[in-house]
Amino acid sequence: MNHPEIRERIMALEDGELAAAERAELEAHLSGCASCRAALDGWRAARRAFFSRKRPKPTRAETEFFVRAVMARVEKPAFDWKKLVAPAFGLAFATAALSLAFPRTPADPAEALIERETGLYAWASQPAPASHDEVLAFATEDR
Amino acid sequence: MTNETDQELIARAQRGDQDAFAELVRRHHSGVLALCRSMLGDDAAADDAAQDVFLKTYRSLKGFRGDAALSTWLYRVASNRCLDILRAAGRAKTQSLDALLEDEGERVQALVAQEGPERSAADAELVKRVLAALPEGYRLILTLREVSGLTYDELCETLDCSLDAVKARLRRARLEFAEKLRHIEGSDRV
Repeated sequence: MNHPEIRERIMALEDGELAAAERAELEAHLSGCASCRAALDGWRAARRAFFSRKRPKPTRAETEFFVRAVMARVEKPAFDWKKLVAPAFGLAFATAALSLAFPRTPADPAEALIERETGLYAWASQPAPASHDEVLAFATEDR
Repeated sequence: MTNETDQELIARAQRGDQDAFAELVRRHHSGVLALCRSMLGDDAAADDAAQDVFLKTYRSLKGFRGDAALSTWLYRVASNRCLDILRAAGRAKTQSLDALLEDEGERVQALVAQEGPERSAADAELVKRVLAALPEGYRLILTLREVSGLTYDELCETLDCSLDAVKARLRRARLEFAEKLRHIEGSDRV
């Protein structure tokens, strides 16, 4: 292997991407090549300085605060009228169909008589005259 | 907290269950926020960007077919959002990496020479400035690999490119970054 190829493989070595045989071959080269070794050491020092510092993870409270902030910005789903209207129509249709199929008949003959008479009374009864003028007008009209 | 898988929660969220989506946000908040922080270098801007990422995800949730993991999809949306923000703010960037390394060479050199993971507040600020000065393509792939810990396959899906392209981009970003840092040491010795 020449040096440019070695440099390419150095990073694969760093990431544990090399097979055992390749790894052994590369390590043998690194032990005897100062410039390739310097390239690897240079990157390791850079990584330690700039990428090894572990920042504290957000606390549970910070995460909950964040979740609320996100969810407050999330659009609420629009109210789906179809979900309400369809069952209402269904119920109305079913009720109408049942009333036609099974018309209501009072089981008690007395109740049936009251219902019939009440209807007749409502038809026959007239409001009582409220004044003498109305009585006079009624009488005059009869003549 | 629920034991449901992401796929189950996504299916519920696709049917309009907002509680299911809230749980997905809860699960992936940390990863998305870390990526945005590393890319943008500003906590408040990163928080806003992370919110945008989840909103965009929610709005396109119906089209999610589950070919890739949700986390990969989120990283892709987050990467694009951060790149948009960086490009929009491009004019406001004050220093290139070369200029920064020239100005702060000694401090950067001392930082690279440190062994332990502990950093002072001033060092942490310097790390942010150096990362912010990296070309955005380098910053993105280095962040996805080194901060978010994505595998090569996940990088392919997130960046929408081939395995060879991912390897080449990662190698170039790492070696060029390390080379620039080595130049500081070299110039210091002269």
